[in-house]
Amino acid sequence: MVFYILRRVVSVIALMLVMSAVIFATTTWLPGDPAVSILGIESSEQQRAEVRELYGLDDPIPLQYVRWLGRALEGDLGRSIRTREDVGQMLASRAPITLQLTFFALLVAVAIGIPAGIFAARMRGRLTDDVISTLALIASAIPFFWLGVLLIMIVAVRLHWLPASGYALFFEHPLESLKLMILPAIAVGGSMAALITRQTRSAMLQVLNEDFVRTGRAKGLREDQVVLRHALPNAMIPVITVVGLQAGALLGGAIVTEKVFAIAGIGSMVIDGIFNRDFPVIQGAMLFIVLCVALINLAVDLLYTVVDPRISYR
Amino acid sequence: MKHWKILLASAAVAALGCPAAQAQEPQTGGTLITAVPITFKTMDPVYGDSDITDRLALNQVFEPLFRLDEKGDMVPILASGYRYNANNTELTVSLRKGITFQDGTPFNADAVVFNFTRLMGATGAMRTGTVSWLKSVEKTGDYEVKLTVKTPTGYALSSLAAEGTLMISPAAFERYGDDFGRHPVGTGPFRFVDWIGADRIILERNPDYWMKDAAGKPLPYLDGVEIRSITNYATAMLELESGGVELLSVVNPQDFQRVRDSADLGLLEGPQVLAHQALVNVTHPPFDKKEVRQAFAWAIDRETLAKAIAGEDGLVYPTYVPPAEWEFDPTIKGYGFDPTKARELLNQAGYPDGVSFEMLTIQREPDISIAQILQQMLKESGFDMELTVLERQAWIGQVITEGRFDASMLAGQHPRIDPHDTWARSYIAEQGGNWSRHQDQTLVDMIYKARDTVDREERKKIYREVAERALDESYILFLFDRRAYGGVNKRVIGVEVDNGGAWVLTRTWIQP
Repeated sequence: MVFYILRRVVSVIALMLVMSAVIFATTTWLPGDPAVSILGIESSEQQRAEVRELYGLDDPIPLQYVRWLGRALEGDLGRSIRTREDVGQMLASRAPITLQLTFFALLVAVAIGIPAGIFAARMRGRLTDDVISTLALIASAIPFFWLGVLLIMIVAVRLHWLPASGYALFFEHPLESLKLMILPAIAVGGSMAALITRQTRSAMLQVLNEDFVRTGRAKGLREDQVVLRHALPNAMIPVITVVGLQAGALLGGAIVTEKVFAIAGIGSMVIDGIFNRDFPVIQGAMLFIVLCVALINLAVDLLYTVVDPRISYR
Repeated sequence: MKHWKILLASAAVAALGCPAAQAQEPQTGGTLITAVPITFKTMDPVYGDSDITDRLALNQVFEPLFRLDEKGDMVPILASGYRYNANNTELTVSLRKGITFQDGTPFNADAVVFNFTRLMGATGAMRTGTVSWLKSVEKTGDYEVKLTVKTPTGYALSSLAAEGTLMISPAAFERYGDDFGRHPVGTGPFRFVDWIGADRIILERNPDYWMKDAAGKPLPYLDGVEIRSITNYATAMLELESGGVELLSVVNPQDFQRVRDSADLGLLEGPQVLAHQALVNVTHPPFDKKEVRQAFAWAIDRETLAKAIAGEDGLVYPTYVPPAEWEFDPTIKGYGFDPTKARELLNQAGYPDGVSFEMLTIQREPDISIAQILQQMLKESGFDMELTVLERQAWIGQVITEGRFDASMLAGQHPRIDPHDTWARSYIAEQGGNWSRHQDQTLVDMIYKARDTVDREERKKIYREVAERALDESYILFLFDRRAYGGVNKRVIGVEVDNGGAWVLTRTWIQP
């Protein structure tokens, strides 16, 4: 198991190296002028030329990449072209915010999706199953950014139940953080909950038809024991797979959601970096996301061994 | 020597916003939550990239030697007065005494010299152009400085109200160096507390602020200000409506009536306008010919366009200069709407069958709506316009950097600090303009001549000539201006704005 983990860590590092080159290359192809981002549009061409020379923006792209990589390997991700903030510090201050949002969205998705999927499977063919399935279909069809604005309008503006936007870190202001996270977590987690519901229902339906389930019922076990202790663990492998895959998508969803809810996380950092052609910021943020997705995938693989002891890695 | 009348700052700066409760006694206390649609680049006045908008934050922490009021008159703030020498080559500014920066260090002539020297020598800063006229600055007393100009210019005085000349603490700059922009220290009514990511800037009352109100009460009234960056406009408006934000810098025209109808909200008025224009590229057909550009100008029904976009808040002037700029001249003859004349001009230019061209626009409203209306409007005059919407950076690359376009929508905030900024930023490449890429040295010389004239009335005459030539050549088509409003909760009283519409929250208070 240890060697397996080590092998995966090495592959993550290799992945990040490759991705850093890909991200660097693709961002340099974007139209726009970073010098204008630094100076403003009412700058003269002479001022822009001076800035390009000052920050090496006119150097050949491979040279710029090698220079950036050399510093990154020493732990220096560079400074924002626009604001001159240290990219590493930007990541350190924003990552907890995005991870918090992603965690709460995941919590919403799992807390709704798995019970709903189990219930729908148990009530298969009945009205309850139809209602749950229809709601899941609607939730998966609604764009989460539209849902976000709708939630703000109804819950914050009309009902004044919750704040419309902003964030607070849970470990600093737990109550305030919960109040601020509810709407964005629902917006992002809602469609994932729908997917988990459908996957759980499908997996449960398959498992509930297995012989060992029939045996359990025949032996007189209560229905909840049959479903929760025996059927559910066997149905969880595909569900965990979906959750793992969707966690990466959640990070992507956080990007737009952060803009809607004015949350200054990694997502906002990526968007602002792209709009300003701020290459160090884009690089730093995207590499962080790549790392997170890779680690989530590793965690999912390790979780299989917990759910199903028959699975082991060497 | 000339002496200008010294106006009391409290009487001269525009006091707008919520007039109904101004008769009430101001209450001390409370934190005002504001929102702006941008992420500030820096709190260093020299290195910002967005004139006027940057002042929304900068005005609360820093102060200038002078500030422009809504009529364009110079109000002394950190200065107590100024005088020119006989031949206008030296501008001597006397400074107020007894003012300290928020770090306790004194504001004096040494600080002013430091600030101007720093601005003159800054690299990678758009705002160094603010002092392009300055030859040298020296201290002539503990509270007096002499600014020697390269050539006599009326722009010198105006630039003392610009962003780049906001006074920072030399001691703080020495302490923080390049990071000063994240640790700003000025003389203003609020001092910096924290800047949380790109989320919000937190300011608290400056307990040692030098200004008092008319009754002698210490200012500011507020305990603090939070400036939130909410780049999604829909979210910002919802926050204003829900009470999460009490002062919003921009309300779009489609929401003007909604705010007017609201029981809790009001529109924050000021002298500022947004000027909508169409820029043409004169380096290649069809707009390399003046007749075609003039035809374009005659083909636009500006009144209808202004009304369609901004209703009663749409304003049509001869050029983009609004009445709030002192060089505004309503007698200048602008273009009307005359499709017949437009077709005649196209015929003269060798386009009897009309002209096709591509119009670029940034992906934002109301630029897209304006362009769509123009597209239909121009057909009557023989223009076949194809509209292309670009993401902002792509637009910058294509229009500003590469000049690869036929025509483009533009928008700009007015009034500016000085008419020179208005005209130079449009028509002079060295000053960050001339995206139309004209070679009109006569126009450029006229703009510089106006800048380098000291007497305001003489400058006004020259700017009239500049406007007439700009209209004749039509490198930029002036469409219409529209009032630019902010949104404010009616409990917030006494929001003042400078001549560009940026808040000055010194006398703002919140009704309990």
